[in-house]
Amino acid sequence: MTERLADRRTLAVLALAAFLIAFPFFASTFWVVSIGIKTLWLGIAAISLIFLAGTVGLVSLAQTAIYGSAGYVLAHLTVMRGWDAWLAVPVALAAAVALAVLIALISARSSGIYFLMLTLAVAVFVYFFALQYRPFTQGFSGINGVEAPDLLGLSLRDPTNFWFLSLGLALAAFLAVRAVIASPFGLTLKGIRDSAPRMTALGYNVTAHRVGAFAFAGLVAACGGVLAVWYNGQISPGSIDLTRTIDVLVIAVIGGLYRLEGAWVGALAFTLLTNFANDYTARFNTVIGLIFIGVLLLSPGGISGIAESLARRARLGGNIKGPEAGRI
Amino acid sequence: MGIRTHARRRIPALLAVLLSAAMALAACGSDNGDGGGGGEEGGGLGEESQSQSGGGTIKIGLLSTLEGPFAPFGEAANMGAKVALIEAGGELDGTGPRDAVTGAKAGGKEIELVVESSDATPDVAVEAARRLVEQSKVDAVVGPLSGDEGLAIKNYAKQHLDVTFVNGTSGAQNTTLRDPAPNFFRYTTDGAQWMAGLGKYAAKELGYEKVATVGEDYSFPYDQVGGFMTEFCAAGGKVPKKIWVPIGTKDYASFIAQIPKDVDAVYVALGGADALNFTKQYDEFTGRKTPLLGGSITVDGSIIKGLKDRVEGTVSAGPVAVLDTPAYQKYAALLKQHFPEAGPPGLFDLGYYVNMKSLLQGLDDAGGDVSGEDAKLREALSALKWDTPVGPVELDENRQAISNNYLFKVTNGESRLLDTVEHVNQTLGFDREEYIAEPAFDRENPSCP
Amino acid sequence: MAATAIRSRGRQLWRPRSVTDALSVIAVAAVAVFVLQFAVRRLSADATQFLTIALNGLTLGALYFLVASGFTLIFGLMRVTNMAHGAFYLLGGYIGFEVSERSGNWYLGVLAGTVSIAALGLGVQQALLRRIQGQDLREALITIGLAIVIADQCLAYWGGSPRDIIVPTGLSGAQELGVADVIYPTYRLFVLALAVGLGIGLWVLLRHTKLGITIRAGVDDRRMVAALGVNVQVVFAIVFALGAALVGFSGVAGGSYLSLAPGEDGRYLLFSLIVVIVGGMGSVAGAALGAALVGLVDQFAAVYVPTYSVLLTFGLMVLVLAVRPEGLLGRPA
Repeated sequence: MTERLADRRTLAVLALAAFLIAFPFFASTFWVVSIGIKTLWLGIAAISLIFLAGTVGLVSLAQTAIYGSAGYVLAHLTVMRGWDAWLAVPVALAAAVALAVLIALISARSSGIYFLMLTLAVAVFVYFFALQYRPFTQGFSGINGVEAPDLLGLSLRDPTNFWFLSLGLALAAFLAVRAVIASPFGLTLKGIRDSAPRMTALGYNVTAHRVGAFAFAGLVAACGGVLAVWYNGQISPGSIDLTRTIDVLVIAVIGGLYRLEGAWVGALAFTLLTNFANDYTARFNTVIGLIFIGVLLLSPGGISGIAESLARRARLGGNIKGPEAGRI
Repeated sequence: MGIRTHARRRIPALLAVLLSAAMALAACGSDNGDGGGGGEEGGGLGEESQSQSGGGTIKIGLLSTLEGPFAPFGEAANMGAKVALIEAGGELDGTGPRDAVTGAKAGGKEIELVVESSDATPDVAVEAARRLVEQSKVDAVVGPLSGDEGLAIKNYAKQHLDVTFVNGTSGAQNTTLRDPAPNFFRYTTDGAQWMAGLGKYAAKELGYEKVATVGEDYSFPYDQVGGFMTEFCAAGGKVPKKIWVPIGTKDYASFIAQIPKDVDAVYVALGGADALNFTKQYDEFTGRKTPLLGGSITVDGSIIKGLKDRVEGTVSAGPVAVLDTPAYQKYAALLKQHFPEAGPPGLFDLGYYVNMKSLLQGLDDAGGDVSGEDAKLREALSALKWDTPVGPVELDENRQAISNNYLFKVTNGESRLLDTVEHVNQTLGFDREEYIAEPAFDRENPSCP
Repeated sequence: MAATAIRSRGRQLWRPRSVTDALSVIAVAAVAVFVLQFAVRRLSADATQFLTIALNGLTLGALYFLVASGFTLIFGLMRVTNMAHGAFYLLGGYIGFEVSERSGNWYLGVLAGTVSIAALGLGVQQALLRRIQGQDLREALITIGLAIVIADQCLAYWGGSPRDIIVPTGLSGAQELGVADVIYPTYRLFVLALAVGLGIGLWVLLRHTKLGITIRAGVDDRRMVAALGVNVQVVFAIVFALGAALVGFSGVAGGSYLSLAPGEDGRYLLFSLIVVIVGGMGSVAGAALGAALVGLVDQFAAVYVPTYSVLLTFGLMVLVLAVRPEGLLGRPA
């Protein structure tokens, strides 16, 4: 039975892979760009949040600020200083990771709710900084005219090429996060999540591990930020304001806060909703808010949690408990 | 509880299949455009030319801010745009901002209107433009509403030379002054042009020698203050202090405290809620001893009632004023007839009206021909000159409007027309090369302490 | 390092525990010196401006205190971070606006704003939060969802145009303060007085009433209080309603001198967070101190270093966190 299960799953994965590879060749540009690519990079940002929530036990609202800072550094260097994009990308990533480390250090002694509030405050500060520090960020107007560069002779401004780059990065993010979770480092992080004092007693440097986790999550988010600024062709404070900060959280929760693929499931649901709900109601924010509350109350596993419990129910046919409706 | 680390963890089968099916169905269902073609200059992802809607329909996308704090402006804007369509034979489907108009015709073809909205952030504006251009496959876009959206849309327009973009009311100078897009047409004036006449009037007629300025720290107020100061300084005036308020400030107390005590007037480039807050606090702290000069949205029709007597006597300038001309009266009547809840004609509805009507007239002149990257349409639009409800308009070499500007004074709670400044171009009458060579308006420029 | 401890009445309040701690102390000292010399210089250069800005800071802080006091009470006792706090402020303000406009009576508007949000808070606590009591993070996230919904509904009903609540004539105009030619708006002084009054009222409530003692005990040890037979649920409900009432009230008070518009909810949530992070969660006195500090830093920075004003407020928060992560007057977690 398990082997048939494995076969079915492998089949599903292969089907999905085939679909994703073929996607830009049969779908319209609008779908590839506005829905597909956006889902991919939003998912990368969301998975950094999911990683921290699940492994370290901390919900960070600063991920948007982190990916935004990568985007800003990249935009500033390429547009305002004329740097070559591929020289600027590592600098942008490094800057975002530095911000992540700084946040980790500031919040080293906080956890749980304090941490949530702290990261929210940091995120809004970064927003105000972007708004006010004109010499670097050009303030409210933002930095326009950011162009995706060429890679190995292929123009990344071409939607198909950009799709494959995004897909590759999303896959890399997924695999990297999974690998880290399974590694000794990941296990230590979970030990810390479960009981920091115990880990300290065992001789682990809790702060150093937390900083490391943040740096990794920051790097993942930063990759999403690079894609985002190339996708939009510009970046402005509006890209990282309070609404966008909360959006990443909403995506992670709706998708499923404890499942890695929840990042993309949530991102897809969100992208579809924001693109098409407009046609039906101007109150789509209320709709999103209600779905968010609903998920938190009834199914903390999010959409992927629902799908999984349905699948499990179908397999085992009957009375089983759904995903642990417990601790977040 | 936590993330499972089982090595064989795979994406739940049911989920994968469902998602793929959903996306496949949806994606295949929409129009096909292959993903090839290189990008042109400008940001974001490139796209090749697409065949536009053939046959007897022309699709026009209407982009304004129907979300967020600028929503009331967007609603007014859509009303104005629709009045232009009504004049072209259309009928409203409903009075809501997102309702379409049917039956309008231009260039012998039927007009189909697609309404999209943004929230005044450049990101969302570009996404909305993408939906219009790439999903709804419009032939032309009218919009956006706010200055910074305009800059982002201009860059987007450069990559879609097969679509014609006509402005809404965005008034950032650099949308057309520097590095313009060949397919972006703006029949309304920019933020600096909206100040034409005020600087001279303040120096010569009101005899002000020293003026302090207060504005928010972003591009539109820079353009407004810049436009004012260009004339004022050239006429011998001095500006000893320029106060820039961080965006989002509601509490102006500490900024008011910085205004030098010996100025003849304070020029205020704030709008909406900010104007309400500022004038209230200004009164409280200074007892209104020093008169105010208003920016274009400081004493706009939409808030003048809220300002009550705090701005009595304030002189301001802008592209819109209550005129006695038949064109204006006709427009005002049409607006009231079809949109009974609308306020008096203002900046946003008039701006969109002028731009939409210009597009329709261009389509008429080009015989409805939108083939080959809209070549005929562009020619027609560039050459277009007509008399709008607020004066005559024509375009310069960057496809930027040259039209009238009006000075007015708040008397008994109403804006009364003082003077008309005719034929204002983007360089405010100064030499074009010199003007462009000057650094762009920002916090420091211009400066005449 | 015991010798370098800070003592009060012979008890040791604080002792440096590491090099980082010592460095933090040095940083704080340096900042204090800088601030003092700055204050002295500015005061002698232009006393009117300095005092006006100082008053601006204090009155802004007063408003922040009004808003944050409810937030910190709710957190202190129930460990609920009400992320919809800003949305409550906005909604309370709007309701106060409607009622005062229609009735022509500002005080009626204040009452309406206060009572309606108290009722809403109570409803939310009973219907939503009580079900998942004890799960801090989940409660916080649900209140985020609530904030999104409330903000959107406010936008739907009152639109994007800002609203201005008219202050009664008795409270408008300005007063001459008799010091250094300072003329200051009456209403702002009124808000300052309100905040002081509220602070005293809360202090009396917490120290001298049975409810207050129960609340303080609950903040210290919730389970023990329940074990002692107190109906904790009732206390929770009262405290949440009280916290909500406070923020509804401040919505009307604040909306009377700073207009109400979409986006204000995010702003006041943020400032509530900063104030309690600086002052200490659960401490009303901490909220007062934090609010005063944040208000003063905000205003002085806005005038003297406008481009970096945000960084200074942020710096304040970071400094406090470095020295005392639980906040200036907070209790260690």
